Amino acid sequence: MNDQTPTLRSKAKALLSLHSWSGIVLGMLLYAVIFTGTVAVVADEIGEWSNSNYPQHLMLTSDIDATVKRLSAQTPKEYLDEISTYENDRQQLVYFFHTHKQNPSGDMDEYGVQYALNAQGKIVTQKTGFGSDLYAQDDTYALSRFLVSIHTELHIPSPWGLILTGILGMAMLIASVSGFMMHRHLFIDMFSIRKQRDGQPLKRDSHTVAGTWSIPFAILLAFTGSFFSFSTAFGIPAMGVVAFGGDQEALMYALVGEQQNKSEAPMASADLNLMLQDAVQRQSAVPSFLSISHLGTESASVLAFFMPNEGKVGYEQLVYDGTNGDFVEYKPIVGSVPSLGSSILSLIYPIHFGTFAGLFSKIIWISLGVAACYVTITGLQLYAHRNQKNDSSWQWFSRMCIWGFLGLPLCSLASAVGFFVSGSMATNQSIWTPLSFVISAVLISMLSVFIKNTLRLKNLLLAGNGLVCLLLPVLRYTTSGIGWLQALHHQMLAMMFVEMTLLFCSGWCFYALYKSMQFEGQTNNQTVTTFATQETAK
Amino acid sequence: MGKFPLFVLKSQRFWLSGPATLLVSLLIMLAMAVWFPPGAGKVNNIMLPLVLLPLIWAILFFYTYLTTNMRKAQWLLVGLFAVNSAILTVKFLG
Repeated sequence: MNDQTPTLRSKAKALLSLHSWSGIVLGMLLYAVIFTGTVAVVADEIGEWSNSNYPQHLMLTSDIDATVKRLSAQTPKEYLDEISTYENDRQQLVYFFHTHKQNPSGDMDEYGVQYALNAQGKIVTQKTGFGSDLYAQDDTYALSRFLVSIHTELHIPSPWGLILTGILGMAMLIASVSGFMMHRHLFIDMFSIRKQRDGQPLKRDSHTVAGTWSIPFAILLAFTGSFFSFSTAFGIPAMGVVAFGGDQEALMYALVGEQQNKSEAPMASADLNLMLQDAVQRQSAVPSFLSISHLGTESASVLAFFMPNEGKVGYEQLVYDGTNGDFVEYKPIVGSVPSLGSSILSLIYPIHFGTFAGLFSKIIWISLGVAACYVTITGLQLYAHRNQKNDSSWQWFSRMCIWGFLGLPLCSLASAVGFFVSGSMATNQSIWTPLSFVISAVLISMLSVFIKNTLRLKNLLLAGNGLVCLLLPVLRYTTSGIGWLQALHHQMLAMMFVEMTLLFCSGWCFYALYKSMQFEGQTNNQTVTTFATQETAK
Repeated sequence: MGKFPLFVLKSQRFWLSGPATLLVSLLIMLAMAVWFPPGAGKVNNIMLPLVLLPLIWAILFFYTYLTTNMRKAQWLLVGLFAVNSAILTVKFLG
């Protein structure tokens, strides 16, 4: 960025420089966020797979009204403000009776008693605490929560992790927009792999082709990802300071769309089961969760939340009057009435998470995520190769690329191994899942330092990834006892999808290993032949 | 690709496209909460500036990075800074 001779500088050259530096400086972290983001697209499926769960639709088969009444009678009155109900991935219905108050970090949080009930309505666990703490300690979601948390915060304390991922989103925006602006022949570049090329020129072509195809996707994800990170880290509180004079509670009520002071006059509530049945009929689906507010008062209301349904893009929230059971409205995502802000937000969520057409759109999002990972990898590899050609001391950069690109997937797979092993030993899965990641990261880092031959290091990590991908379905089966026939019988689509993906990844790793060993063999043969020719000439 | 990174810190363009652009974008976002119509749902003035922040930043960033007229870019950022600071000052002190 030299401002001395701006007029002489070609804009294309400046864009290339910007494109390269934005990728190089934050490339490895960007890869971490893109890779874990690709995994996070199927976080719900991973949650179901890791618990060998098949949704039993307990909300439909249980008597929610009677259960809420029974649990309300044994719960302290101060926690009856709101009740959240959902089916977890262990075939239990969770009821969280809570009020709202500040947690030790100073944030508004839910506080109360959480019950988990099995299909027969028997209480399995009962815990009291802040909603954020209860969720963070819930072993059911230990694996999916851990993988999502790397993507959103890189496991850096709040708000710094969110700020960093927001900056990474901006770096991705720079790299993709400059990549787009650099192309003079965008449509030709989409198909410009030259057959006669190999080695680095082929890699450069592949980088351009994969990058060109994933540009719109990368721009969309970078834009929406920056929004999520910055608005959560400081945007919403900062806007609250300006718009509501710092009254965070007023801000939350404006966003949630509720009146601040509701009547607490006692009044009998309508049957929850009837409201639930009506919501299911209207949406032809089972709600993800129910939120029951101010039950037993004249301001009682029930909200049923649905994931995007067939033919619809956004989430749906149905609100019922809790006193008479009448359907009130389709509530917007933010605010009390439909607005531009709410419409945009309801589009941003499915665009970022790829949830708008179920598993089909998720598969497309994963494919584009893999393409974006490939672009980051090849971009950094091209940079490493260019520098290594002129200066062998740059070999550390190639080593770092192998460590990051193959090490991160292996660490993520190791965290899943930790989840299953700790689960089978009845120890704390919420601790052992991240700990397994850290242990494997240390081991991989040591290997990356001690193994001098980078090709051997690459082969070892490829073999490790392939083996653990094969091992995980076996581990899951031995810990749960649920096999593929049973999974097919119960239509456990999420579980089958994750296992097929693991097997595919394993196959790809072993194929890449085979090609790499073939290349190593050819290189050795060439070296021997050259040496023999030289000896003969002598 | 130029040599990175130390001499970049001496570059006026670096400071203009980097910290100055970020600061001005944040100020625009905050000031929008004051002047942007809240709409019937009373949330547009909160949600839209948040959504638009990456877009505003990207436009300012690419403009300041690619422009050949640095003086014009400087004055644009100074102008945006002054206008949005004034809006926020009036909101809090007025």
